[in-house]
Amino acid sequence: MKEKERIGFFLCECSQNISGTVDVHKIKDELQKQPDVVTAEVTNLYCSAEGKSEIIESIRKNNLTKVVIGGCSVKQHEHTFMNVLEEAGLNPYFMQLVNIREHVAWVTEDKEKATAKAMALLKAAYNRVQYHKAFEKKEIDANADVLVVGGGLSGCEAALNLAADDRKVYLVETQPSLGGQATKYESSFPDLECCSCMILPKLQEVVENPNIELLNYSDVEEVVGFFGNFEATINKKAKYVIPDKCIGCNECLEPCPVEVPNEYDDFLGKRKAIHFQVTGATPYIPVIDKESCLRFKGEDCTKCRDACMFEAIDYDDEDEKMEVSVGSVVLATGFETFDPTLIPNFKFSNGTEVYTALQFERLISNTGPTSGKLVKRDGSQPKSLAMVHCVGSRDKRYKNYCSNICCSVLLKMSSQILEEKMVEGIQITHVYRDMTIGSTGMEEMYENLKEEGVKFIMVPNPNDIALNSQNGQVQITLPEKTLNADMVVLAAAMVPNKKADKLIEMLMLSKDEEGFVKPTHRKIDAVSTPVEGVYVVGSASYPKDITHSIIDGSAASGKIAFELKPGKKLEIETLISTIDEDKCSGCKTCISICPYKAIGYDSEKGISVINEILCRGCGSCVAACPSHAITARHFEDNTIIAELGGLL
Amino acid sequence: MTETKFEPNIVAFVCNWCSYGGADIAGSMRLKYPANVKLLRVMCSGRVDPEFIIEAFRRGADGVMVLGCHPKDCHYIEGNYKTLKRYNMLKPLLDQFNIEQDRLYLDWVSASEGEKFARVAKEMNERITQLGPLNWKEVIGQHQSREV
Repeated sequence: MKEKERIGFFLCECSQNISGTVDVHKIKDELQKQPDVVTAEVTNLYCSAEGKSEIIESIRKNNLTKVVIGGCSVKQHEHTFMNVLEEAGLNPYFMQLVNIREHVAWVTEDKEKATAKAMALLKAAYNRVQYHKAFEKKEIDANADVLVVGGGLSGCEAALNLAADDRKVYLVETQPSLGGQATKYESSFPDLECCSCMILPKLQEVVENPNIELLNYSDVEEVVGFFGNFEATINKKAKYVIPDKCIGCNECLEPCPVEVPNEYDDFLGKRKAIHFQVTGATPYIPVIDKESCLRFKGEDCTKCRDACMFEAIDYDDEDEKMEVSVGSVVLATGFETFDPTLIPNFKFSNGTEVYTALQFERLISNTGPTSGKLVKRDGSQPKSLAMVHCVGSRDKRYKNYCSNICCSVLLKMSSQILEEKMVEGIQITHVYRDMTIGSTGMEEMYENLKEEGVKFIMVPNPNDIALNSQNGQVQITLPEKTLNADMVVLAAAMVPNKKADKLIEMLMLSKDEEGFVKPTHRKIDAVSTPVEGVYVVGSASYPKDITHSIIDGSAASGKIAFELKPGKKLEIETLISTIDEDKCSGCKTCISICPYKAIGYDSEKGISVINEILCRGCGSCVAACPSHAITARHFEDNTIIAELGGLL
Repeated sequence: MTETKFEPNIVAFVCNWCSYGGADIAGSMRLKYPANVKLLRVMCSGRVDPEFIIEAFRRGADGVMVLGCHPKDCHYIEGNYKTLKRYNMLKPLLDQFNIEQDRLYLDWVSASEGEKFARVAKEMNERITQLGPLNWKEVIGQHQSREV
């Protein structure tokens, strides 16, 4: 038989805040008459040092098994009193704090009614605590190493902050070199600061950091596991160049007979089959692109190997699989650009004088296909340039959102062209809807451009204008007039990187309506995800500039460093849900309900299984289980029904 | 027989993160609402088993409220959507038990909406006062409730 409970009530006057409306002494007298109530006490302030000591003393003296405190909000003092119980040697979950201040005294006029209501709430707690069970804090072994997927700026920042002698970071980048989209820019807004100067030293730090294992030209093929214990399979693509031997002398490039459009310049320029992503690529080691190399088309070409003085070319190189164990995963998969061919009235095609902003950035970059000379495809200098804002953005037909940085990028390009005097007397015209420029210094740049003669034409929706390319010129039809421009730049929206889809699915992350990874909360928890131990940084969660991408990387690394300490165990949520194996029918209803993908299916036993590391104890599955096989700790069915009985 | 004014017995299931906090703010603002609205805290409105609602009526509640976080604001991502689905499912079934649908009420109260909490409580009290006592306890009393 269950041993009799010894229940103690502690009613707080809260310096008249409670006792001014609720007759705590009357309640005390009534409670004392209840069976199993050993003591009912009243004091002025139980949250004070003296008040806490009184509870501890009473627990010890009266040998209490359960404690009910009539006081304030659980938001304010639940932890205070849980600690008090622990100090007195009782399990902290043997306590119920009843809010008779915010929920009774402060909201009720009539003293009698307030007292009756407080009595009902305390009786409910009296019923409830009899069902309270002891729960202990639980800890699991955790791996402190981190997998960062994506070597753009946010990923590199996270890797650099986390790498330490006792914490290894695996940084996986699908491209041959680091830096992501930002390395395509010659300069950055608002101050036209040179991007390479600012970025390359950071990337070099990544390459040189002994605690970062850089897996460039590699892809994550699989990730399984959970917070503290993920296992990832990474495919290291064959580079056909031995990194330890290559010194980046460039000699192999010239002899290569193959020329293909350079994807890195968004197909504007050409590259060889053996190539660097860009001059100054980090790491500065070329790779052979198997798709275009003649050797992989059956020809016996050895020109690059012949040119190499360091025997760094290895045609027998093969893809290599690698398994890594990590405690958390940072998703830094970045963005790609909206495809303007989806807007029929733009008649966008390669070969015309219409460019996406990223292509145009390459055109005015020193490392780009024209070495920074602003020229048309026929080599002549443009006399007029039109820049179209919001391409594919803020339009239900395409992408609903604003990409945040495009206005600033177009203003920056205009400023760069004028400041560097790329073309004498060039007329730049912006076709825009409104200016979205939040960064410091951008407003000034905008005003300066207006003074320097750049025209700004406001239209209701830039996606409705028509572009017609003819004889190396573009005719732009606006609602009220027609313009001609030698070149047109389209600020195409930033869209989620489709190549990340498989990984997002494997990690069981959710995407928003636009396809970006959904963080736990857009404002107060913007780099965490609902899948514990998985973080999202940079433009994978929404379009960001360099500043915000770097901030994200720092934020995620801070969270990881705080939660996963090398050599330390991981404390997991105590109040989770559990499944009774005998009652579970294996219907899998709970699996579809769980927002944290914490429930799996044991096909051998034919039942659902809750992963106690992932469960956060919301109890949604408990309410859904048709067999009543799931129990929510501290909020069990019988506990809630007992409480309900006391209330009514 | 003397007639006393009917004061309904109302239970409000509130989620820990939003609506419990909303009730706290109502208190901090000293907003008055009828004392017969009594709160039962669960971690998420998604924890509210429709059986709890039936059980509340069986044990003498004249009205039951379920209050959760606003759509998109759920602390547990989507628990409130589950609540909404269950509510929509349960509500028409109440007719079969001879319980007026208005006796069950679902709303979203954020942790800052003290004013809304007090208003919702007052309005619920008015609605249920108009409907009068449910007396389901007496009607169904002979049947066993779920084993606890």
